[in-house]
Amino acid sequence: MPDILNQDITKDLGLDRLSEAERNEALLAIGRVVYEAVLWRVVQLLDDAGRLEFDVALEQAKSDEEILKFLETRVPNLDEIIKEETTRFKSESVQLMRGLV
Amino acid sequence: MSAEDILANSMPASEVLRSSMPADEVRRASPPFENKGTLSPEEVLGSSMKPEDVLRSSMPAEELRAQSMSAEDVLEHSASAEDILRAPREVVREEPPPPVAELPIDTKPPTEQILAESSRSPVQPENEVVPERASTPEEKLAKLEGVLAESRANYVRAEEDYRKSKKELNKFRGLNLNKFAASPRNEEYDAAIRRRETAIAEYQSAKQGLASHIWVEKKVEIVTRLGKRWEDLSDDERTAADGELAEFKAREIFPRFIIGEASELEKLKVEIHPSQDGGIVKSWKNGLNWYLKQNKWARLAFSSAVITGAIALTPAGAVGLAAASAFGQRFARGAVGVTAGQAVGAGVEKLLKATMKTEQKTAAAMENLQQKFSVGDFDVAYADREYRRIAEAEKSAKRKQLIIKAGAMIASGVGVSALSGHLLGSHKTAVSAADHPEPAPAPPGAPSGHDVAGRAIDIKPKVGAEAVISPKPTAEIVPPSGGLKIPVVEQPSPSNSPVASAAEAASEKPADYVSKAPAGGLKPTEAWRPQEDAFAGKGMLLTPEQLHEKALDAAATVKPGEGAWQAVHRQLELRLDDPAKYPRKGYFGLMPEEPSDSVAAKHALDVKTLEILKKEHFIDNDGSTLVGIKNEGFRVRLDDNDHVFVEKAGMPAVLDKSGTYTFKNVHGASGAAIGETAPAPIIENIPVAEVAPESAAAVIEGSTTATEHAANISHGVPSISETFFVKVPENFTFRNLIYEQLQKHYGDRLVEFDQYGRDRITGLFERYLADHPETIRGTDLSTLKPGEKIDFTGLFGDQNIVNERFHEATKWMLERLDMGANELKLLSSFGFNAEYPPDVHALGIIRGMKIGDFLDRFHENHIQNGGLVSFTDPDNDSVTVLLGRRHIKLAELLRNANLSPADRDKMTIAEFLKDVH
Repeated sequence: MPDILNQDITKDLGLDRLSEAERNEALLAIGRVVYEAVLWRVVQLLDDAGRLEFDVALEQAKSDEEILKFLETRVPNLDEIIKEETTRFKSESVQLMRGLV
Repeated sequence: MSAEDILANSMPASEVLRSSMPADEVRRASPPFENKGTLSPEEVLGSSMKPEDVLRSSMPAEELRAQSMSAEDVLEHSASAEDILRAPREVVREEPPPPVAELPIDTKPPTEQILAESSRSPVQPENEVVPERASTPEEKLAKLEGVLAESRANYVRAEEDYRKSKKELNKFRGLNLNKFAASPRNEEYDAAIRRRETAIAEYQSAKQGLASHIWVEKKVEIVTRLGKRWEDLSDDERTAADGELAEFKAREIFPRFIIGEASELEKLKVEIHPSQDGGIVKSWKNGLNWYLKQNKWARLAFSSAVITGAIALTPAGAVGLAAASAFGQRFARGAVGVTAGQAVGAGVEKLLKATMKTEQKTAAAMENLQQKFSVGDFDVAYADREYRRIAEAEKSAKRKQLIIKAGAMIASGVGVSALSGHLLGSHKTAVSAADHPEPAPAPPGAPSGHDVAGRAIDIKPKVGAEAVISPKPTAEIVPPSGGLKIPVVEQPSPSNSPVASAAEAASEKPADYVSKAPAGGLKPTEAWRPQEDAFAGKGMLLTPEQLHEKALDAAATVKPGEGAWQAVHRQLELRLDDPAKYPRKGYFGLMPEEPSDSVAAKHALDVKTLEILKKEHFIDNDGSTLVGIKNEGFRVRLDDNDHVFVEKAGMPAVLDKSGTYTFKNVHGASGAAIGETAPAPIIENIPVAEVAPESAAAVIEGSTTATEHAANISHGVPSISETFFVKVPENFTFRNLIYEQLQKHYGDRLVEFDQYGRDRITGLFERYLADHPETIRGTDLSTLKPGEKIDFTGLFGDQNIVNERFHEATKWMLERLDMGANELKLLSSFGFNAEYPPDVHALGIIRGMKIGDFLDRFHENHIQNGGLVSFTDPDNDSVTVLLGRRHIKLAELLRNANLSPADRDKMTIAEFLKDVH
């Protein structure tokens, strides 16, 4: 049974009806929504020092690799969080759209 | 009955909400919404409510809460699993109303009926008389919106309570007081969980209720318009109606209820979060800003993985690729739930290994390669060479493999292809029939011609008859340095050839591979494009250079309903992500830090597109004529010098200007108009008056130029959103008008300046206008009256003018700091950017501080907490300056100066730095 995580919900969201530019905009918005939710959980997992360190890393880091390295070090279950938030987003979105009959 | 049983047997949400159970109890009997992600899609979707159900069940949050027991009550009276499962089935069931489709249009609209029912309490027996509501549709909508707003706020509050409760619990756990704290603390925590679950359920229900209401209204609107019952619609009408609904879903429901609601929730979360809570919000905002600065293609890679559940990077050249390979890959990996060991390139790795492990496989793959490319002149030796490179790469270059992985397109991820905009278009168009059309026969005796840029092209018109573009015969196509020969006209099938793809991916760029079109333009005799296409297709792996080429190809390819505008615009989008070659400031007139998808960036792209198309005479200056490229599959390519030319299958067409400003038509060397004689018109002049009569009004109104308007209307270009047309209000001052426009169009840049800087910028624009009244079409400012209109397009729509003013203001701010050259040099070496307004702003604040204060703060924040030093702007306490690494160097300098305590207390940093040499 396919997991919703690995399900393509393009059509459920109607993104296949959009023009290329609109689709890209929609995709960017989706990524932002999921990232925001992930980030909200991540910053709450960090202690005060960790958050300060995170801020410093964001301020000083030369590359995204450094930020990611920091996050992976301080939030070992980062993958799990991303997965959960992605699943939540997809489930809620699909449920809403398929509820429109 | 076990908890699992309860969950397994839980009812659909609609039933749950219709039941008489208290909300808390309901949630106990139903899995928390957020856990639905662990269910199968069928399970998740199986619980979807019909809109009718949702609307019937949606009731004001307060009603639901009024019926809810307190958490303690719930615990005290907690029903057994059997009770929970039985209870809802015992309540009075309402017969669901007939589907919308069954409702005759001349009866009460479904929404009214549904809403009337929705006002009924869930516990009302069916035979109870429910008074008919006389509310208008607007009132009904407002009611549902009110319910949603309230449930949203409740949800966020419950979420925050839950978070606090959890934190509290963890604190006690940390003190190892579990056995003492267990009862009260755990109960409190459990109650918070239940409240949160209830709030989530209410929120989801309210959201679904409003969305369904709007959806049903749309359906009603459609059938009303058609004057038929839904089931009486003909097949064509039904198809059209379905299409309209699908569009509605994508354009109305998706942005509002999926993206918009998620944003609202996040905004509320941040708003209610206690400001003293350890800087969570601040870190979140910083992290979000960082994300927004990530390369667009990296973010698309992540987003595509979210939506499709499959990883396929969507690189757009080396720059995008590099970003995608770190952030995009990492988050995409999480979004599809693969572990680090199954990282992005896993499929590629498998492919590589499968093709390289044994000699037998190698031989088989070679044979396969040969078969796939069994065109007469296919160079097997070349493939062999490439193949050996794979083996070498496998043995010696792990890093190279990573690059291959990062650059790999797993083309079987069609969903991703269908999502990643023009990048996906790249696969579909680059190797589709449109790219390999049957060439028109070359008439004998046709002369060669040149396009306007002097590029060679074979134009072979029949005398007095037709003009066609003919490719060179295969035999004449010779790569610059020999080697692989790929016929231009008959392309080898780019089907599954892992060997070829892996070979190409793993190899260094072949010596005879020309990855980019030469600056002077494209010539039909160059083999770069056919070669590239030979390696494209399903299962193919491409080098970053090839990927970049494919992205460019796809971007340049005109799709149905498009024109030159979209093709050029897309290519410029790619350039936006290549700041090394196309500096944001120098090329686009953008701040370097500007995110690619910001309003300012979009505007800059629009402006640049317009500028280029005008310069290249695709759009004439007076806006009367627009050149449309009508054929799908044609490419409108932008070269390195911003020249635009049309090509098909790698062959440029002739774009021959006959006037200075008006692009007339396409002509061959003989003067025959290709557009008139080609099998299908490839280029067509579109009189603006025909396609966009509104454009005339647009000029008058000044919202956009006629040209922009024409382009927008004729080709569906997303409208240039910024309007620079202003109606003069009562009691205006001219300075205020300017400032408002600045805020409206450049607010994100304006905020980087302090109040003095903003005043300065406003003054600079004011002065510019006084010196250049032509930018506002000569409007006489001295006689301007309220109600009159000013067209600011010539001022605020001109990026050069705007950038110059901002740059000047930045310089002024810097001068205002009265820094010596040595000081500036020193601080620059610390990392302060004197051309970046926020840095200049920060410097102003820092330099005014007493050294002692600065060092105290440094000691407190950095030495004790190991964190960031921040200072508040004394002129505006909402502005906080973060210094990052720079403050360490500055603090070191100040500390090493060994000043006396008295000096530290009275001397400002600026005073100290004045004496630095």
